[in-house]
Amino acid sequence: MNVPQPIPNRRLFRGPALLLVAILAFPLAARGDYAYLLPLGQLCAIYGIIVTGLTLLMGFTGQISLGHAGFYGFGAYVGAVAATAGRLPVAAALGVAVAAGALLALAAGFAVLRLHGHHLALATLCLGVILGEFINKAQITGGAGGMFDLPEITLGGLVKGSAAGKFYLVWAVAWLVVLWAVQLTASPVGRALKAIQGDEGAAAAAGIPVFWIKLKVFVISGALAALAGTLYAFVYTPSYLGPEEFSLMFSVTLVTMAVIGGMGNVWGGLAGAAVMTSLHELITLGGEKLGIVQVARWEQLIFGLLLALILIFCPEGLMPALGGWAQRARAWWGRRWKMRTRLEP
Amino acid sequence: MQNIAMLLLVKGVMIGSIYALISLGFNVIYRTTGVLNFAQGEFVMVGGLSAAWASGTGRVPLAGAIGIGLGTAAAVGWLVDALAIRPLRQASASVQIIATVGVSICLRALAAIFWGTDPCHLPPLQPGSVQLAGVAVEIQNLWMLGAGAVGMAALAVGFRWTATGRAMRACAENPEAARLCGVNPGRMSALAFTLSALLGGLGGILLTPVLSMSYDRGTMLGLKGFAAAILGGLGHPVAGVAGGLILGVLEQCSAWYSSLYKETLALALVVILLLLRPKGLLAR
Repeated sequence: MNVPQPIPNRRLFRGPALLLVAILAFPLAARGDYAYLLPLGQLCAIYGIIVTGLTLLMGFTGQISLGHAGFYGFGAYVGAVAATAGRLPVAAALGVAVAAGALLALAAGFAVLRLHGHHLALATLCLGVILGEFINKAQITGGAGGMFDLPEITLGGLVKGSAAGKFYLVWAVAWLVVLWAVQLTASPVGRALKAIQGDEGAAAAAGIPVFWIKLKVFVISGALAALAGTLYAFVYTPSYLGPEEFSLMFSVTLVTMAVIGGMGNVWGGLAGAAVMTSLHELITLGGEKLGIVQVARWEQLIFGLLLALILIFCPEGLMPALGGWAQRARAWWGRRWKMRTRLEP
Repeated sequence: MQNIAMLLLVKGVMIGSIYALISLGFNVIYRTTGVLNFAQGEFVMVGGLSAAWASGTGRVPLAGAIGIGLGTAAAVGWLVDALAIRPLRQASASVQIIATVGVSICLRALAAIFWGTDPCHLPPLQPGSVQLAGVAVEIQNLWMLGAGAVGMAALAVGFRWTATGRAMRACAENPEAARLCGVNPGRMSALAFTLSALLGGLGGILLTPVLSMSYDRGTMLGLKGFAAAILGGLGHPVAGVAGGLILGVLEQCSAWYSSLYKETLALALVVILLLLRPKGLLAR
């Protein structure tokens, strides 16, 4: 019988180490004319945090959520209100927002996680729309007008106003989240999640507390979305926080990011978020380089087409496809290596 | 008071019949391919906008414009299947669902390019209104209700008693076994998308005279239809229509109670209904 072997630590943490190098190097490369890439990079990290939580929920535990933009917005606005009307310091507001996001996910998850499949999708969708409507219409959130001039996270003046400093800050959080997700999915808990995805009844028969684990993952993913929301509010755009970001369609976009990245892989969340976020920029950039006028008019169309093409060529998502290509490349090099050693006397 | 209740009921049933038509489209595709089509609302938008565009040129009579709207919607449905779903036949259902999200982005972008971003109008099929239980009801609304009823009956009968309907259901149940019995799942999928786009387009044509139509209206309509289909119990046309009517009435009632938080109230009630009947309202 094939007993799953624990992955050796060296291999497990190679990915996070590589990512750390990439994070440290990116602001050094994005200078001068390319400095506008830094805010884009911040957005990739913020979305990556949400989608990593969503990947754990959907790809590993098999529970769909079409309402995560609601948790994301909830975190952003609770943090913003706590920092302005509540006059809390930013760090405390951030803590309050994440705790509130977790509590909301706990209450909501307790109710809706007894639903399955499409019914769960509809219930979470309703939840997202309800949260979105509150953000859009309540007095305290500034309604459709939004909120202005939130306090910034400065870390004692370390990152104040500098795009590179903000970039390092959000990516440090994203890196920790990914590191934690990597070790979680390699642990017995990760295997329990996979078991729930495979067959809830069988998992329960094997002694896994199915409902509690589902609830735990739902709470974690809700808290991560709220955390991303506070980073959006306090780091990415402290000058203005509006309701457009947290629309219903964004919940669908988040799920799309998870699927594009590859749901069975912890790295899929980051990959999907990075690709979907930078795709718009790449289209505009490519359009300018090729000298096509009116790129803006065609941008959405090209975006949709590229999405469909990625799905057609990598139906399992980008990360598994990349893994497959890497394996094939390694096999190819291995063959060449063998041939060479055989030829040498 | 009684009059208000009657008015809310009538208005709810009218808008609910459009949700019912959209949920029928969801059901046709789901029962044939097992895919939830997130571009369903865009079919509604395409049908409504192309009819309004044809009628707006002033050279096409209303009947011709309706024909053009239905034809365009059906053609778009067939193309969506051919270009996005057929290449992904082997992929998992979640990937196919996300592909329909991509399709809906493309359709919205194309509509904005072809028809612009301004709302378009269409004259009603039949102007005027009738008195119904003390409430004035526009005749256009009765057409909406009638179309929902006819569509539901035709699908319920078609899926159950015609060979094609049974073949379509077999494809969702087990494509390999269906193929062994001589059913072509690819052709059935194309048929399902065309049929469901036709239903969506019909909904759009009926809705445009009442609420007007623009390129971005489809998304919300599609989600309402999705909610209706699942609320009733996915996979059964009659249940989907019931879900649509219930959703329409819930919406009107909550809009009357609090115009600011109408979505919140209606959808909170949907969640409560789901928790009470976790398998759908009419599921056995």
